[in-house]
Amino acid sequence: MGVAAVDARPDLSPRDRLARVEQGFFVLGITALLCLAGAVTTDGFLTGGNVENLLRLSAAFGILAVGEAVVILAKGIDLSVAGVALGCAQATLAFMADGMSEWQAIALLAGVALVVGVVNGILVAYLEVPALFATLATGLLTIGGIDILLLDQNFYSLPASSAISELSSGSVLGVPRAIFVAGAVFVLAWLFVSYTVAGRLTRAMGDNFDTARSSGAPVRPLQVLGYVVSALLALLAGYMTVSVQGSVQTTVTSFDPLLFTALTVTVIGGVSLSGGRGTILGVLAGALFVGVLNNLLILRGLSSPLQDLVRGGVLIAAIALDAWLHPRDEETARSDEL
Amino acid sequence: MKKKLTALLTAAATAMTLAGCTVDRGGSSAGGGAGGGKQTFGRNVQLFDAHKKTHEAMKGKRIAFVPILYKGYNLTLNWGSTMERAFGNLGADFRVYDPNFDTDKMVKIINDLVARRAVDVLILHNPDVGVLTKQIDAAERAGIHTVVVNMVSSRLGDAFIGVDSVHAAEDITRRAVQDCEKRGAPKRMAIIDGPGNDAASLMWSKGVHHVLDPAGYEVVTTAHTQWQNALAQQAAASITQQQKNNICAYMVAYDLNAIAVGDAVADAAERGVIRPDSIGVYTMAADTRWCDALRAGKVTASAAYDVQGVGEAAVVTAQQLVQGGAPAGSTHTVAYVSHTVVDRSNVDDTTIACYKGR
Repeated sequence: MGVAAVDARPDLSPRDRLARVEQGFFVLGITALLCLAGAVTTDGFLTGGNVENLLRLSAAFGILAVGEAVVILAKGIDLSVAGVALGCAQATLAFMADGMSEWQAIALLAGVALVVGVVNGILVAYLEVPALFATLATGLLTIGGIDILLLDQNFYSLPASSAISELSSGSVLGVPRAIFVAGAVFVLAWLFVSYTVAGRLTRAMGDNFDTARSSGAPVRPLQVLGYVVSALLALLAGYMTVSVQGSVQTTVTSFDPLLFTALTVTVIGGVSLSGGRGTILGVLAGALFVGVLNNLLILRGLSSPLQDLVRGGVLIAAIALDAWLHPRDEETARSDEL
Repeated sequence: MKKKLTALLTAAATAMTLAGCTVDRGGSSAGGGAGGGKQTFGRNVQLFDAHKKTHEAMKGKRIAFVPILYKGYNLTLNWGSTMERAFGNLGADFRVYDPNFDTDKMVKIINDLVARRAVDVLILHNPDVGVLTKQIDAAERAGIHTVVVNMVSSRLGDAFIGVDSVHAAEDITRRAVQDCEKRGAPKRMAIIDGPGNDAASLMWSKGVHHVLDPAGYEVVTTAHTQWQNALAQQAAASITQQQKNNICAYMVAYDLNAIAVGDAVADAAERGVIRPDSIGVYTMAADTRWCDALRAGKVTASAAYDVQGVGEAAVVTAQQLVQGGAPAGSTHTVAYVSHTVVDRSNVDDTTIACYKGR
């Protein structure tokens, strides 16, 4: 029986064929179709300037999504990223407003982000607290702690001559700096996941945690490393947000859209919430898709509820498509402990 | 005999009911709310009695201020600090409750204060017309006076104090039209408001359209921001990229969002997407940080309104309600503070512009 099954070439269904395609290419295809629809329906959409603009606006959440993807690939999740990103950026501007030098403020807040990453890692890897709750709690602690201890205004402006403002101004080798920085993060993340031992083990750990552990992989330190990478990239994303924006608000509601966008990009990009499956190319494609969608929603002047409806619908469609292409089996079903 | 007995019973029942009402609506802060007490003043008053009675009327009265956001927010800090000074001088117990931009939390705070009858006067910063309807109704039934600031509520409460938003929007739009015509710019503008379906956004759009439509101007798009600077900046960057110099102004409903829009326009000019000074940025209100952006040339003009006047008027209204002795919810008034257009030429000479938190 077994031999016969091996010999017979299985007749792949369209679903199986689609499932074998790298999801990044699939999403890039859909993004191209969306661009085409945008070009037909919206004046000035498909121009070099607008593409540059939407890439620039997508840089921050793209960087955030890369960090989120690294954690999710290892079967984790990090809900503290938006708190770290905006909280640390706000605190940096608050320190600068109080007269601290920019680099001192950045070093201080990089330390805070590092601590949050390490705490997340220890909670999840060593104390085995579910990542969903551990990072939700540390995110709230970060937001609340920074708000109570470090902020005394609702709004901070970024000084024009600061290094943070330079993150999104000017260009490097003809590429606008914000896009260049985000591109560099994507390339480094791709090299890390694809070509380093730590990256490969991260993915293996997400695929099958027990096997990775029994094969001698340092799973716990790797988990901590993932959360540290995520927190530091969140810090960079926060500075990029402030740099592009020129100012920052400190209301709690400003954190939600950033977290939602980062998770949406990751899921649309085909990074499985069960861990182990997904690529940095997929995350890049997801970021491009969401960037194009956001740009079109703004240019079409849709009301906020309608925009939420579209974004929510896209996320549901992405999750449903992922579930259809990669049906749950006994192995993946066990990973829903997030 | 039967008729006399019925009349006697009816009279007794009426007297008991009235007595019950009087006890329930007593003006002291120890029991129910402030509404329904005795009038503090009559037709005449002795010179020093006025001082004594005013303080006596307010002494120990519990005043709660529930804004949509307090910590670090100049607008509500300005109101709150004015109230704190004035009520403190009068010996009233003034407290601020901060929902931190969370409407659900705001509703819970008010429900709790009303259920415990923990206040005599509620000063509410309504986020939208319909949000606090039930809470104001419940407060009135509990004998608590309500003063609503900034955004009118469909259940009016005892008093509303705020800016005449539609009128202010019309005034600043007229200014924008004048500027566009001086530059010979295209008759096209974009509106950037809040969520879009809320009363503040609707009033802003109505005022802007009142002026633009008859003047033959086109609103190329209306972008919605949820009052978030990130979204305001994204919208301005995208629209500027799309329209380039084919647009003459942004009409932004919220002064802090206008700073982000100004940054996006300045950035587009720096990158050569548009000509410098070819797109104006207009708004309503003038926070001190908006004034900094104005001095830096990032924004153009605003219909500044008397922010501190709102806080002062709320204090005065609360005193009048307590002294008047009328039951909570028995009188209803709507009053507007002043507003005027400010730009770089007059901003430093206009007392109501550049408000601070303290």
